[in-house]
Amino acid sequence: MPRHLDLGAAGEDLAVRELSRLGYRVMGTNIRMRMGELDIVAEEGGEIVVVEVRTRTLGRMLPPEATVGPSKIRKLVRTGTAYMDSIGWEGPWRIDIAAITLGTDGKPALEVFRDITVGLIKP
Amino acid sequence: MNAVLGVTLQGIQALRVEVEVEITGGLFVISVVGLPDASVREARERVRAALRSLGISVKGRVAVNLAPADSPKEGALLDLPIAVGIAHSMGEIHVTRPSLFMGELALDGRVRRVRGAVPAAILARDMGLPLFVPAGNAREVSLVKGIEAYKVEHIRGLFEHLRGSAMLQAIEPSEESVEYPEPDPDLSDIKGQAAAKRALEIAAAGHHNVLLTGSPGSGKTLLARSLKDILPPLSDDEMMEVLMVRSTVGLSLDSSRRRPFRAIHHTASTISVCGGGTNLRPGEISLAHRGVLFLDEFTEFRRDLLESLRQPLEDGCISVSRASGSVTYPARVLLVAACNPCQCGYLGDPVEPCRCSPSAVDRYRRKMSGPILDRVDLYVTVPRLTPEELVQAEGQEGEGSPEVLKRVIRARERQWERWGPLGFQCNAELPEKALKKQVGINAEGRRFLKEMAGRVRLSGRGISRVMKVARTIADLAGDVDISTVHLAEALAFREGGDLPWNR
Amino acid sequence: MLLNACGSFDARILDLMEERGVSLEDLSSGSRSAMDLLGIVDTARERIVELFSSEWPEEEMERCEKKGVKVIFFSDPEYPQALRGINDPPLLLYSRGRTLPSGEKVAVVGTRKCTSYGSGCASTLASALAGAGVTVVSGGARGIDCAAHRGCLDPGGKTVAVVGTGVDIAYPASHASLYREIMEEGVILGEYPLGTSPRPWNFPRRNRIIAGLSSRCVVVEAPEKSGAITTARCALEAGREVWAVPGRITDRVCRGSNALISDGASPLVDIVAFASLVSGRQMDLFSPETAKSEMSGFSLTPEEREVLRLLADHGDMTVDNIATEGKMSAAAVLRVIGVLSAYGLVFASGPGRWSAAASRG
Repeated sequence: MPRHLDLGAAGEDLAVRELSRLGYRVMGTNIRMRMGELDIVAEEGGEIVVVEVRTRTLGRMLPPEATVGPSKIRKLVRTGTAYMDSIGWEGPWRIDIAAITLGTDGKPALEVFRDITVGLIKP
Repeated sequence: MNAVLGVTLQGIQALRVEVEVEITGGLFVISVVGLPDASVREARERVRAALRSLGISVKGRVAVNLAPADSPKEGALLDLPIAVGIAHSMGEIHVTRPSLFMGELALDGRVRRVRGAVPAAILARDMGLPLFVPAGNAREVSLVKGIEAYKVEHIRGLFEHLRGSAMLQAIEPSEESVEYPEPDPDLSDIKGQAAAKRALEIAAAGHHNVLLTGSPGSGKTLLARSLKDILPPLSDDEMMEVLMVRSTVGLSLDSSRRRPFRAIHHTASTISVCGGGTNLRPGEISLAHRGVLFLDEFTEFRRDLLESLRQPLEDGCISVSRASGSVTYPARVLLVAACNPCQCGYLGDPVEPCRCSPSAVDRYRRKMSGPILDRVDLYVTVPRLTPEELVQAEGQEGEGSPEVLKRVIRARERQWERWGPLGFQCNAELPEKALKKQVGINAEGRRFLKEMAGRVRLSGRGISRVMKVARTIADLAGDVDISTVHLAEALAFREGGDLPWNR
Repeated sequence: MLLNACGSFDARILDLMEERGVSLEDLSSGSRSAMDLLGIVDTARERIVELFSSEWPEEEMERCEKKGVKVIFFSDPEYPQALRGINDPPLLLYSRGRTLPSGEKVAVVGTRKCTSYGSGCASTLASALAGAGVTVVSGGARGIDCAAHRGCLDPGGKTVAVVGTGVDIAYPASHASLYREIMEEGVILGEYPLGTSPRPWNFPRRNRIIAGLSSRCVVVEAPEKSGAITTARCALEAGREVWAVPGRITDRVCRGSNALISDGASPLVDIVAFASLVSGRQMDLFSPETAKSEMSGFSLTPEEREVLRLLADHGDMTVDNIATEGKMSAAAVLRVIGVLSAYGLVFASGPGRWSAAASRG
């Protein structure tokens, strides 16, 4: 398997472990919808959280979270909205980013960016 | 009616704003209907941050509706009611009684002072609702009687109060209005100038507008400022009007009953004087409402600025408009204008020679006329005292302001008695018709006035002015009829009666 | 008349014409020899021919009639005798108002930019002269001239204004009512044709007429290069007495009048004495009764008389001064001032300062 996919899978596992530790109740991973895929879906603080996982090695150009651009965000919103409809969830939900960086020493570091659509959604 | 209410200002009046909040699922977004977009962006941040400081995390789609939607509103005042509305909708707190909230939120949850607290208090009084205001506005609210009001330092305190776990401090009505503050300056601080002081006494008694003519250094500004302390103290209603204007502008309050004194420089912009600008704020003339408006160097004022003063001097109020609407502010003032006798300032001075050419003197003289000076009843000249005269005037300070004020008040009372039934408050307000019929001039006086008017070629307007001023002089003396004694003194203040170039 | 209009001609030319045998026809035809004989310059020659051929004199006479202006020619019996005696008498005088008053005339002249002291002196002096039956002659200009005319008119005296414009023009415009008053008892004289507008070079010429008409010339206040000094010089040349009112040596405005004194003019330091000298009458010291009878039936209250007396003695006073000296309240002083100023017995010499208008003390 190509190395970056390897990294991806390992990152997702790490993210699930860390998020659970942080109090997220993971409900599912790799949920496939017609228009896209949701990496992790969890429940935290009374809302459903769609977590997009990004991994990267330190030394690469962009920080992992910066690789989620406007079109990707729009896709996540559409996919997430479709998911909520499909499970019949009418309550609040949000999108977080879990950014995993592999240090030179090989040790991974996880950073969570909460609620990335604040201020971006037009009322 | 909704329980959560905020206020918005229209002129010096507060209007109620109903805050409705609906929270549904979906990605987090706060939308506010009824505020301009720029204000919404800022309000959102403040409200969310303030609620977060209490550990309240706002989630989901929040729709805030401010009714009525189409009237212009200012964002900052509405921070607090919006936060309360959202928290109420989330079930974090319960607002059981309809209440008025006003205040700006800091990101850490503190509640900041805003303008317009007094109009809001009056609205609360009229609606019979409790009012929650920032602690920084407590003092001005305490001057409004008959309301239930609380001061809020931090949003936490407010929520605890609403939950019933801790009470906010109520705002007690304050009795601190000082009826007779220390005069500044006192008439006895001014050396000599007996004629000008007498003129000011007459002006105060009858609410007559004044023109002071004198060379630089003659003391016109000091004399103008002394007028506010010989005017009768503000009545309760007048005090409320003054408070409302000051509160609308966001100025600190003077709790005394001293009349306002505002001096405007001739370079001032029309907006700063008359009001207007982005938020349609009141101008200097409204800040001088029920007090004295001083126009120094009157001849240097731009014509458009003077023109815009005409309506308020006539009506006692001023309309300020923009595309978004118009607002009327109170502007009932006593006008004091001051100018030099000529361009260089020293025409007729005992020591300094006048450097003006004869045509410059004529030109300057022509500036001393117009729609504003038409409303002046007293034309007073103020000599510039030589050093010898100043020394002579030592120890002859004359009466202090309190003594003069007593006479002024009595004279005013006589005017209220006489003109009250007709709907006027003072001699200066009297229109021509009422003047001719009711003023009470005896036969000898009538003859005297006729003769004098002919001698000095008084216009019809000039005659009316002399009669009004004579009526005030008679009131100061406690005389019922106007006789030659009063008319003669009034003549000394007639227009053009004292200028050397009138020869 | 024509010659007059061409400018710079005076009555001497008539003598010259007679002397040298030049007739009017010669001039009108433009004969060169005639012009040479009289010494007329080229520019003037053209004008003369031009005007002779037009109907200008007749039209001018018509205009005069319409406006009530009388023309006094050099040859007329009414032509003032005093003017005949000067060096370059005017060919004719336009006159508006009454006939020229007979009797003593004194010129009172000075600067336009005078101080209140100067105008006060001019006014008081003129009033005193009027009271003594003397006619005051001046130039109708702002400042001292105006004060002199007014000071003479107030107690009902006669004054003559010699103007540098056409006599139908009121210059300065603000003096229109002053001129109307002057014409009621006195007269406005001028050398220039109707409608002549004010030009700076016209005024020095008229000064010689002011000087010539009068027996004495008083310069009240004038700086060094002033028209009034010109008038004084004309007076000297014409053999008239020149007087000057001394002024503060630090003030530029009276440097000219002061210089006249050091050059030999008589210093005018006592108005009553001067008026007595001119009129030959002994002037009474000021008394309220005299004031009363002279001023057509005003009856003054004791307070009013007291204030008038104070002002006559002290020059200018503020209301404070009057109140202190007269032991009256400010309101009482203001009452009195209101009435006295309406009667014209006092006037404001500056902001807040009052002076007596017609005092002789």
